[in-house]
Amino acid sequence: MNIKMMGGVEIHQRLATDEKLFCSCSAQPKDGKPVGEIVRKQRAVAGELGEVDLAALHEYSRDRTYRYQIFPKTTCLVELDEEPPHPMNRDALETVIEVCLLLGSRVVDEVQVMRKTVIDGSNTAGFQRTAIVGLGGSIQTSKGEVGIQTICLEEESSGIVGEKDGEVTYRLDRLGIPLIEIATCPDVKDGEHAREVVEKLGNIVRITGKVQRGIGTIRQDLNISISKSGASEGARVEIKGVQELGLIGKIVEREVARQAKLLEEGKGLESEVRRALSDGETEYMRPMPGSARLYPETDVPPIKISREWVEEIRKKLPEKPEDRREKLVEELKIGEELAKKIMLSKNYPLFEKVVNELKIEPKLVAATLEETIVSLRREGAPVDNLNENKLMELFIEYKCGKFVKAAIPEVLRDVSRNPTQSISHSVEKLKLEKMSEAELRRIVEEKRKAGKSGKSLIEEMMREHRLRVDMKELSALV
Amino acid sequence: MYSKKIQDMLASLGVEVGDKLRVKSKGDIYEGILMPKAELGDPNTLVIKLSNGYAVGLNFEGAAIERLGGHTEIGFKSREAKMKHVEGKSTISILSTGGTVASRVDYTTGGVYASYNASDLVSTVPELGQFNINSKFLFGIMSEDMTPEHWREIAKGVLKELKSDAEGVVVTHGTDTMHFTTAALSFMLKNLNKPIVLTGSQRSSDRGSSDSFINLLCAAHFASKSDVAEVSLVMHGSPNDDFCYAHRGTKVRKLHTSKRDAFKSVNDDPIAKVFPNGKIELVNKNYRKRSDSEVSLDDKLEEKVALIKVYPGINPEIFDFYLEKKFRGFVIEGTGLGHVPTTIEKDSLIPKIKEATKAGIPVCITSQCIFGRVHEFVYANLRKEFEAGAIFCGDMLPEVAYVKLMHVLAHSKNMEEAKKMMLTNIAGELNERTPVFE
Repeated sequence: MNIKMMGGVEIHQRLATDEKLFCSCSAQPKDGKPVGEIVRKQRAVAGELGEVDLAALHEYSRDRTYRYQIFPKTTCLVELDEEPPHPMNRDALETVIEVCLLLGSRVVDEVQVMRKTVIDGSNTAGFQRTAIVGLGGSIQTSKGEVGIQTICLEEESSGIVGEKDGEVTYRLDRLGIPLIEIATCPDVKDGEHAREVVEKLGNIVRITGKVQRGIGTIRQDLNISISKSGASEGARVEIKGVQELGLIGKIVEREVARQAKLLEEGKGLESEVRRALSDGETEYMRPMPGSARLYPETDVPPIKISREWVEEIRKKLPEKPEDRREKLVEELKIGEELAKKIMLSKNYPLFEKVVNELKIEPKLVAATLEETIVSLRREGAPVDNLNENKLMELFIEYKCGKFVKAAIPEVLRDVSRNPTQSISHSVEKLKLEKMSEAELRRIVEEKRKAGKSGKSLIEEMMREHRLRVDMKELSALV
Repeated sequence: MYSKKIQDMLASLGVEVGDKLRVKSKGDIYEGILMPKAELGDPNTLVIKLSNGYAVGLNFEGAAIERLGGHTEIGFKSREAKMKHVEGKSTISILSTGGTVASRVDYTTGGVYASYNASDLVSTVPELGQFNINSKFLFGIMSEDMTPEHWREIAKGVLKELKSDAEGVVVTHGTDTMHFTTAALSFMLKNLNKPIVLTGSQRSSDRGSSDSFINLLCAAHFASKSDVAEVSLVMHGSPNDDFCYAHRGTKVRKLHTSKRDAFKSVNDDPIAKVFPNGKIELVNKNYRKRSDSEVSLDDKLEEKVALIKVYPGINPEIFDFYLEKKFRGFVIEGTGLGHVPTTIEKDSLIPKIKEATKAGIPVCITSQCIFGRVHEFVYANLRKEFEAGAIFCGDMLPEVAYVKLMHVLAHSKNMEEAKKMMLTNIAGELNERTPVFE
């Protein structure tokens, strides 16, 4: 049997705004214990066109009770569905427009916020607020162009805590965090290709520098259908909640095989939603929701996107990931490995600033930001205290010759533990000031008198004074 | 509404809202259903619902529109209003007056509007199938638009149902002024024999999370089987979907703009806790019981009554407007124990109270504190107010005093009689004793 696969991917990425999409709660949930709880029920209701959505009915038939945990700073009456939504967060909308422009999508003229019925309880309102911001566009891949269908801005759902005896518990801290959703056309050829597309889209959203990082901040769904050559298209199956990039290939291949087997056995293919499991298998979740699940969110007025605003955003647009990588490797001579780390890092704007304004060797800046700090974090130093100002101060002092490269980890470790202390104070306290030329000369002279010279002199110097001596200066002198 | 330009163009193409269209705009092609324009959107932007269910706004300028086959009727399909009665089931009446509980998105205006009838509500709450339901659609308005005329109409409707085979009557109503209506019904309907239950919702019934389902169900249970022959208000008792409180219609107030449990009993305990499974837990044993008494309607009201809130800087001259317009009564929401500006001559309301009282126009004092009772003797200024002729209304809520004064003025011959009636408990609005625990 000649099986043809049609596949599309959807990525969901949390945006790094200060506030949530429709309220002023913090959009950066912190771990911690809930301070309270509410208990709710939900029902299937008719949608905008008067139909009850099939997916909604399916959940209702399960008659479950939902418990919602309340957290300080990230939960207000809006998350509890006890207060209407506030106006849409502009920063979030701006970031989505930015991504639309990077993907060559058409930005709509007026954003219509919709309610998407979801009564698995993951939203207290019984629906998720979502809006199309962009349509169309494409990315280039190793297997040809992959079209973009829609780019949406939507609310993150509540996080599931557990399910027991027909009661599902959710945490409300992440409900309402702005989420960008990018859905591709069915141009994905196979599992490997799906992985590439997901990676490329992830790079595009990350290059804006305005997305959240870490576990759970990005998720992808896969849409897969197959058809026998010549026959009509099969049924679309959506696989939700793929968290690990490495599993995408496997999941796609297994799903194609599952559908092919059903076809072979002469069984019909059902359009359905399946859940990705951690071993690459999938399980049935619910029937495919229809378009009846979307109706207008009348509490949020439509938002006009003026051409002027779009052009403003276009002017500040970051370069595309491939262009940035090329610049880092070819122009700035940063190795492939390090370039990969810094190009999508949240530190990239600082990197650019330091390199452009202070003219410090790019490789050193990138290594400090992406490697030194990471290894300090691993050893337990409170590196979150090293904010942009502190790091800028470090590079300025370095540029002024206060200390040498090798001293950077020591200084950063000390300052992270004493964040109110200045960089120069730390350098002095640790006695890490760069050796003056006179002193360097004097010590080298002494070593020469003791019979050292050339390579062995340099080696001994570095052994004894590594943290205070600039290698280049030393070799020039010797 | 779409702009005149768009409307004209659509008319010339014979396109109506709900038609399937192909729109070419800036080289891109969009296909979908033409949606009505929300009142808040840009009137020059076409709203198209795509096949994936999303709507997008597209600039009309330079767009080419083509009509494809197909038309979708937009809006909610109302159910058949008649429902068969089954023997053995308890019968209740549900009167629909509008409000959020009966609301859906209105696509012509983009707002939430009261639109569907009681039988539609039943279809959204299948559990109501355990009752035989007489469903009547009185009107469909939001409660901020209610007037004394609407109270009369509701009272007449309720009276008719009380005389039917129904065990009790449920009235669905907008929440904003529901407590005015419960007070009005409490004074207008005499010798009550069955429960009259008003209910509504804070979230429209077109959303899965609406509080209307549980409110309606609890209201139906309370009307069907409770022994409370009073006008009560049944709404969520907590932010959870666990139970409702049945509040006395003259001792309840909306105290939150948007929360599910916005209604609280004030200066009284709620009458009962009502659970969606039909369980009723009495909280307050002081209520009028079911009987075979002959109910009567007395819907005379004097509508020229003003409710005035006191605030720092209030200009006494506002009373002149009402006096000139021949208003026949005042309810003042005083500060604290019932104070009005007294000491500074030019700001004092005391001369106005004297003037009104002298002309036979009662001035009733309540408190904007909402909770607690007013007192005429605690401070010298209160005593001056009292001496000027003001009637201190105990623990009566300002809104209830306002409705009661309308009723009283339509039934009293003189000031003395009006005063006596205001200070006599008619429908649970006055408590001599304030309970310690809520």
